[in-house]
Amino acid sequence: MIKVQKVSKVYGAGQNQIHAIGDLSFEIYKGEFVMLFGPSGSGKTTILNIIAGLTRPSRGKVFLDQQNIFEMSDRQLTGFRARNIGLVFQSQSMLTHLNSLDNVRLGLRLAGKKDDPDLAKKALIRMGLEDRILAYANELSAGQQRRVSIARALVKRPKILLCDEPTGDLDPDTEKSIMEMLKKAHQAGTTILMVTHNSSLDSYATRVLQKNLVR
Amino acid sequence: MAKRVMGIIMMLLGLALILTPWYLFPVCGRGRYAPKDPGIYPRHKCANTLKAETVLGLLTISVGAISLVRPRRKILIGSSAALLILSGLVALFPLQITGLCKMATMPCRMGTLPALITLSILMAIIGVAGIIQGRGWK
Amino acid sequence: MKHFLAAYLVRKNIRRRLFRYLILVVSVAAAVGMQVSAALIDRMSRESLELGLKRLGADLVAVPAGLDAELQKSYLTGDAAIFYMDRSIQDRISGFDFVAQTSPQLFIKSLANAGCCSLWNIYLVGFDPDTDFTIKPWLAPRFTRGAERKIGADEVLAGAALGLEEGNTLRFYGQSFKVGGILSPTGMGLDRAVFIPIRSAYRMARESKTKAEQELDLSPDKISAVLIKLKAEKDGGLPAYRAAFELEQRIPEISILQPEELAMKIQQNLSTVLAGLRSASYAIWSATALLIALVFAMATNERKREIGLMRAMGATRGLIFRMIMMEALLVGGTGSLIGLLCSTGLVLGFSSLISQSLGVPFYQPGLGKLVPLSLTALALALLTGMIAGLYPALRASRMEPYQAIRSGE
Repeated sequence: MIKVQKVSKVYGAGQNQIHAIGDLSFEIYKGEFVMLFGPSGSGKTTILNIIAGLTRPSRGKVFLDQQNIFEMSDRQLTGFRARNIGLVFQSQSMLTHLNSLDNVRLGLRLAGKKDDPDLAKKALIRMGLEDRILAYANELSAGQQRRVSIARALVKRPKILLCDEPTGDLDPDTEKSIMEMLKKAHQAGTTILMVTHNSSLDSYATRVLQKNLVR
Repeated sequence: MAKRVMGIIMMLLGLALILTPWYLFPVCGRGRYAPKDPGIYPRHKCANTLKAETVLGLLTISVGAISLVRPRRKILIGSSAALLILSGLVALFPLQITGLCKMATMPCRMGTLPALITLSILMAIIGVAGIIQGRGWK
Repeated sequence: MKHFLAAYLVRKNIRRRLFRYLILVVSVAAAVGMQVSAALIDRMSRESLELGLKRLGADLVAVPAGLDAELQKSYLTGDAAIFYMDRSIQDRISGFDFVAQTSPQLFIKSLANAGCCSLWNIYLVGFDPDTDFTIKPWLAPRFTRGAERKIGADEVLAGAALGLEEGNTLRFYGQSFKVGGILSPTGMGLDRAVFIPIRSAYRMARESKTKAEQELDLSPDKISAVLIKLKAEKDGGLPAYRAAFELEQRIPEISILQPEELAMKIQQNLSTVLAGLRSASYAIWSATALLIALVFAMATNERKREIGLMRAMGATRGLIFRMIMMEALLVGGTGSLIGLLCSTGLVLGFSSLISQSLGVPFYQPGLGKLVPLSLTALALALLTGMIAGLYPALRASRMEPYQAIRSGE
């Protein structure tokens, strides 16, 4: 389903060049829950963003459903991403001028789906946020915000969910509840690629990739 | 604090309403237009407007004070509605009820009238804003 | 559909960051308001000037030597200029072969009882209905029949700014006069004067000893000014400045006021005021431009991350572009509309006060004439808003989403 072929990413130029990723290749199949382990600063976030089409690799190709995503126009790529890819970021990723419900609804609308408040509400309730539906980001804890992001990513039923340290800097209880939600999403048929430095989570994965991504 | 802003603005408007015809844009024969020899000056018609606007100013201050002390939904909506009525009166007194001196070049027509109309418009805007704000409160 | 989405995002954003938008709108309003007020004052005084000079109707005005500046001031502000000279001077002026027509004027200051309530200083101008060529033609249109009508001995004509109506009764120095007609407005000081037949003025002075509380000391062989019409140059006349020079040389008791000087004086007063207003408005404009640039740059930086997130969620470049553009237009549009309405309202409302404190005549043009001015100001402000919004909009929509998200961290 996802095929990463000899991808490398270089930041900067000349003496200041930083090789974030060098010649990385791997493949992920439909229905998998793959975890990509690696230490901080090993280019995990970068590879996730490349797969999502949010940044271009310096070299190499990425195929999603047999399509080379970097051969698409920006418009096509955006549309493709909107329909097929759900993203959960490491950092705070709620839109601060929208409340939880509107964040999730925007996820639906940007994916080109019908604006459906009930569906959005159900997605939030599934994340255990039934009493935070109208809250803004500054009224939510980090864990709650993360759960809103997951609800927003899942509500459009993406073919693949890309998660960047979804449990980073959260307490163990919150970490566990978020992992349970991802597990449920996986059981419901979503393919998941998750990058993390926390190798104790490997019991949730169907396959583990451990690579030092920097050459 | 944010809930009391409307009350403070209303009180300031009331204060401006009193200061305007007395000092800021005084009516004929008041403030900087006070006669040097008061003996030969009879009363101007606009003196009645001066009195009326002073009373309206005091009323506006009281209305503002109520919403300042008790910033509740019903009180804010009520005092905003009162402010709307007062704003109408502020304009009506010089234009219709008590009137002003006749000549276009007299101080009450040149300064006081436009200043009062401006205040009246401001009061109307604040009144509408207060009602809208009040309706948003629980 | 996409337009609705952009509008929805703009609405949510403004509602959540209301204070920032209010500050922006207010500063745009202040800048536009200053510009529009300056333009309005400029426009109104120029119109008044044109009308007033036409209305003055005389090529030259003779006054006692050294007092031409007094008269100038009085034409501008409507404050009485009181001075007298010998009546014989009119005949001496008429004797020059380049003079076509002369008519005397007499200036009197009076307390008037306007019949109702108010007492005020009134500037009385005595004119000679037989030789007058400058006042009667300016009776307001609905009184034009008055132009042919004889003006009675107990009738006066009133300037437009006095708020009088035809048929009103006025009392000066113990005598009653009926308002026989209203002159059309010019915005100049003469709008505040009452014009009285010169013979009635002398009679009023004579009888004031017995009838009035205050005596009016005025001898019938005195006049204040002589209005002069010159012959056309092709009929053997002289250009105005030559005629003025000639008259001042040959009759040392007089000074000559040329309407062109009046116009220059007005321009002078006006340009000082407008220069002040303009520089203030430029200062505000640049401060506003800076503020807008800063706030939008800040907002865009702060929102780079959000824009990146939206792009990651599937927002197209077009959507982001439309969103930021709409915001800029909304701020520019509401700001300039508010500025336009407030400044027009305030300038028109306080026009007589402004006119008097600036020493500049005002003529209120019809609202119809203000429309093009307003539309131009509005269009300019919208254009500015669009251009100001364009750069951040382009930049924000061009960024790689990953970079955008990271830049906000």
